[in-house]
Amino acid sequence: MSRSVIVRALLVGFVLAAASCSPRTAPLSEPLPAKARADVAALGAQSPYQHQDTWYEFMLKQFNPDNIDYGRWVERERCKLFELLLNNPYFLYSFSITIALLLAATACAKQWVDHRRAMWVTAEMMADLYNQDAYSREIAQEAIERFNEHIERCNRAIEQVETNAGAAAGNNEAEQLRTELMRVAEERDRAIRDRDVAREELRRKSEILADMSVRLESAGSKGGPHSASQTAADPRPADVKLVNHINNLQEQLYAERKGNRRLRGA
Amino acid sequence: MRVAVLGFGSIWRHRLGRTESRDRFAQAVYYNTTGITVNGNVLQRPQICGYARFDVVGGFDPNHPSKMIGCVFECAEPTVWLGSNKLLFRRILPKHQHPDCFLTVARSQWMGQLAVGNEGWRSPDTWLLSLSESDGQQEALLLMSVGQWIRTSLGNFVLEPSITGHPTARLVLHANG
Repeated sequence: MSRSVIVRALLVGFVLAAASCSPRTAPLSEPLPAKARADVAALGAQSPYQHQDTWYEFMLKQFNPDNIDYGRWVERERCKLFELLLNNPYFLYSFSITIALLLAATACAKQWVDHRRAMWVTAEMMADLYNQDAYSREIAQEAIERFNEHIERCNRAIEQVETNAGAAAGNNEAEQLRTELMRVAEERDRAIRDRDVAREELRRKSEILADMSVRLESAGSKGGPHSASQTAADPRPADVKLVNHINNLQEQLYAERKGNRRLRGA
Repeated sequence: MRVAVLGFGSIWRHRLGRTESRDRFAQAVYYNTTGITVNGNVLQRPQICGYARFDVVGGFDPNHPSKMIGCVFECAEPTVWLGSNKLLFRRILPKHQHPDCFLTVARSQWMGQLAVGNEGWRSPDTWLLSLSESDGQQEALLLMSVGQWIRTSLGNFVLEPSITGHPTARLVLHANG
C-alpha cells in the first residue's frame, strides 16, 4: 500500500518537474489575449493535423483550465508589495516599533525569568535559615530546660543542707555557749583563788619588807652614811665589766689551749 | 647602744617563729657567727663562741644581707648566755644615725694572723664576739669603736671613720709600733 503511494507521489513530482521545464509552458504565464487566441485557433484550423495534448498537459489543464501563469502573478505581486512596503513610511515605523516591542518583550521575559529564579533561590535560603533558626531554638530550649532542672536540684540540695545545718548549728551553738559559760565560771574561780593567794603573799611580803626596813635602818645607823650609797650603785656598768672580764678570760683560755696544743705537739 | 654593721661572719643560722601561721616567717630569727672554710665546707670551729642575733621584725632583710652592711641597728648590751657571747640587734635605725660602735669581721687571709690572747693584741674596750680558727685560718667578729685597734701579724688595724662622711668606718693598717 505505502509502496504504491510512494510510486504515485514520485510520478506526480516528475510530471510537475517536466511541466515546469517544458518550453511550451513558459509563454503561458498569463491568459492569452483574444486576438492571439484567435490566431492560434486559425493556425490550428489551417494545420492539416490536429494538435493533441500530451497526457500530462491534459492533467495540468484539469488543475489550471484557464492556463494562468501563477509564477508571474506571484512575482508581480511580490514586486508590487515590495514597492508598497518600501515606499510606505508607516511600514518602516511599524516595523521598527514591532522590533522594539519584540526586544522589550524579550527583555521583560528575561528579567521576569531571572527574578523568578532569584526568588526561588531566596526562598530556598530563607527556608534553610528558618529551619536552622527552628533547630537552634529547639536546642536552646532543651539546654535551658536541662539548666533549670540542674539549678532546681541544686537549690533543693542547698535548702536541705541549710535545714540540716540550721538544726545542727542551733544545737552546736547552745553547746558552745554552755561550754563557754563553764569555762568562764572556772576562770572566775581561778582568778578569785589567785587573787586571794596574791593578796596573802603581798601581805606576807609587806611584813618581810617592813622587817627588813627596820633591820636596814638599824644597820645603817650603826655603819655610817657611806655604805648605803655603795649598795645603791647602778648594776649596768658592773655587767659590762663582767662581760669584758669574761671576754678576757675567754681569750686567755684560748691562748692557754693554744699553748697546750703547741706543747703537746712539741 | 647603736651598732653599725661593717661585715658579717661566714655562718648564718636561722630559727623560724613558733606559730604555724605565715607569721612564723615574719618572726624568724637569724644568727650570724664566724666560720672557717675546710675542704670547701664552711665549718664553725669555734675557739670563742658567740653570735649576733638579728630579728626579721626588727627590719633585718635575710634575703639581702649585703644591703644590711652599713646600716645602724639599735642593740642590747653584749651579754654572755650559756657560755656564748651574744649581741642582740633589736631593730634597724633610720639612716644617718651616728653609731656608737661597729661590728667588724677580721679574717686572717686579709689581715694576717690575730694574736688572740697575747698581751696588747687589741685595744682594751674592743669586744671579741666570736672567733673561729682551723689550720691557720682565723675569722673573728669584733665590736669596735672608732679609734680602736687590733694587732695582727701584718700590723695594727685601726678603725677609722670613713672620709666620705657616711656613718661607717673601716679598718686601716698601720705599721707596727
